[in-house]
Amino acid sequence: MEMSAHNCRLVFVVLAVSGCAPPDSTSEEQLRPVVPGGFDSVPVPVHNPLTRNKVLLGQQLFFDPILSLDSTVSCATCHRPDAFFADGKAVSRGVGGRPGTRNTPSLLNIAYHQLFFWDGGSITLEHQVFGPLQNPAEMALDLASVLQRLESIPTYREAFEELFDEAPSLRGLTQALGAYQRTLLSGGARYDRYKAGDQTALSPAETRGYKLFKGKAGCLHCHHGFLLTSLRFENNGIAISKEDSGRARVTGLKEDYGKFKVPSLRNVAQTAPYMHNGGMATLSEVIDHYDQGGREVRGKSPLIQPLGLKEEEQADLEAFLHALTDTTVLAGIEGP
Amino acid sequence: MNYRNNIFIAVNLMVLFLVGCDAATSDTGSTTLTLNLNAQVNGKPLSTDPGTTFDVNGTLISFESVRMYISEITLINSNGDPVSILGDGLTVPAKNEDDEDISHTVQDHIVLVKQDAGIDSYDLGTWPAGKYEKIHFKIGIAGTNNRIDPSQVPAGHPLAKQTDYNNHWNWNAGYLYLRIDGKVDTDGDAVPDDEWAVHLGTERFLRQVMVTHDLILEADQPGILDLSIDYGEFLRNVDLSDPDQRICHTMNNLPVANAVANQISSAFSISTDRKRTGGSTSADG
Repeated sequence: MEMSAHNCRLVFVVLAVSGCAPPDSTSEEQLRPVVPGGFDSVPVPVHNPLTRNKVLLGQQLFFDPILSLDSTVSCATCHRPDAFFADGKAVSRGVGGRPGTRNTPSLLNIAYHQLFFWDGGSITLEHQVFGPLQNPAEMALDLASVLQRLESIPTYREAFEELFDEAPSLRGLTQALGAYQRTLLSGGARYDRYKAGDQTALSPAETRGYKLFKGKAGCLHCHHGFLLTSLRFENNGIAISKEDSGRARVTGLKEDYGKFKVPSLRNVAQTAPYMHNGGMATLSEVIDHYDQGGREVRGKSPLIQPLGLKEEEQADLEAFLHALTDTTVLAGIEGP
Repeated sequence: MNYRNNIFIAVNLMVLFLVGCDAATSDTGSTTLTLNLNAQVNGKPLSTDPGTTFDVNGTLISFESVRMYISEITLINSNGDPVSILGDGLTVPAKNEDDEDISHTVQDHIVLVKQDAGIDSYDLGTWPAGKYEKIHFKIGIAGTNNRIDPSQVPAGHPLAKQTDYNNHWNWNAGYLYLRIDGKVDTDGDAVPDDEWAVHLGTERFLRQVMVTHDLILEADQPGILDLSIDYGEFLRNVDLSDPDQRICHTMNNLPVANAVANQISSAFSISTDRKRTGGSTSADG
């Protein structure tokens, strides 16, 4: 059920023409995404300004399975628009159905992240493209083949020439994919209406859940700001496999063992299963994990302590998490 | 008046003459310098032909990728003064030590050695003419240069993401300083059958090589620096017959990473078979 770039219309992002002169060499006018209320402006790197045609090229590449070894897997295979740019599986599945080791994170609002992947092992949105492209358990295609395939398709060849003034290149590929992903924004949940002053946006149970979220449950320590994440790396008391040491794999620091990036809670009710390994199937399981104070594992954050939540409080908290769903994200998507 | 002017001019000329007579480094010209890297494995010429094997510590191995980064090249002139040059200047996105986005200009002249591609000669840039006694360089990429985004480096630059053998960890920011790998004979039939790999990186394994060598660079006369590198020396303290020592992607195998990094300086020497100028052949760590 692959969506093609041509019949997938993502209209939830409005791109506005900026008055600023574009810093790149293209003659296209620079665009800036119109962000949801309460959000910061989207950080757009100087070296990769957003232009309409670059975003469209990135969108086409995002949905194109030719970027995988057997031409069956695209970025959108694991980052499905109809699944809030996640995939609903415990761990991702790549070419030949090969299982990955981690849960696919949603790409919504990815533009605001500073480091990428669960362990922060990639430093820019452009740079992270190399990970899934080459990973044997994802798209499994070597970079030389990627360029050869793009070169062999006239529309891509022409688009790269027009946009980057060169034949298909890794720089152009990563810039286009980065530009497209910076337009994937989500901030239209009932929670946002409530924050904007609409007291009727949340039900009584959700309102109680929000109070718990900020108070007794302590969620706000790690899930704050308009993204509902600190974007920091924390050990939240999950049993860690020997094969995946988390942030420590990047830093080499013992104190980073078992730490993973705190995910955004936006649309969390729609992006099960949970945790870096997809090991928890439901929100109630997640809430129960934190209520118990996590497992006693090495390096667990001191923030993870038993909460003593009553059954009805757990229900209220879960109700609030459902209020973080942005149903408007789906409004503009047409299926294949 | 004319007499006083002549005296003034004569004194100035004398000052200029004295300044210009620095025997160590001439400011009157420059020349290109090329590094010829004579690759060996325990004295035998390196080959990445799969059928060519090498005895390393009693174990037969073959090589597939043989790459490394050379950076921060410095020549020490006869006065003991360090002389270095700047590269073209490449401005790219990078992260600072706090993982904040910055724009960074790589000024260093960096060389990516690709001996698996049969390339033995490398452009070291343009240097002031003069007499030099030592050469320093690092194997690896230091500081912010190692935190740039390789995806945004133009193809053709040594720091660009390579399309054949990976030169930068996707999952672990930073360049592979030294990349040597191939196959190892595990069953004693003289045919390498299993993989071995030493992919060395991260700041703690950055190593400086110091070579003592008389090098005279004359203006507009292309200079050549002949060095030998013995890849067997890198593996001197690694037992590739031991499965636990066969795969090192640095952080997964610190003992092997340390064992290889500590041999880096001793792997280099003045190339004795093609030596063009006099000098000692010692390499200092």
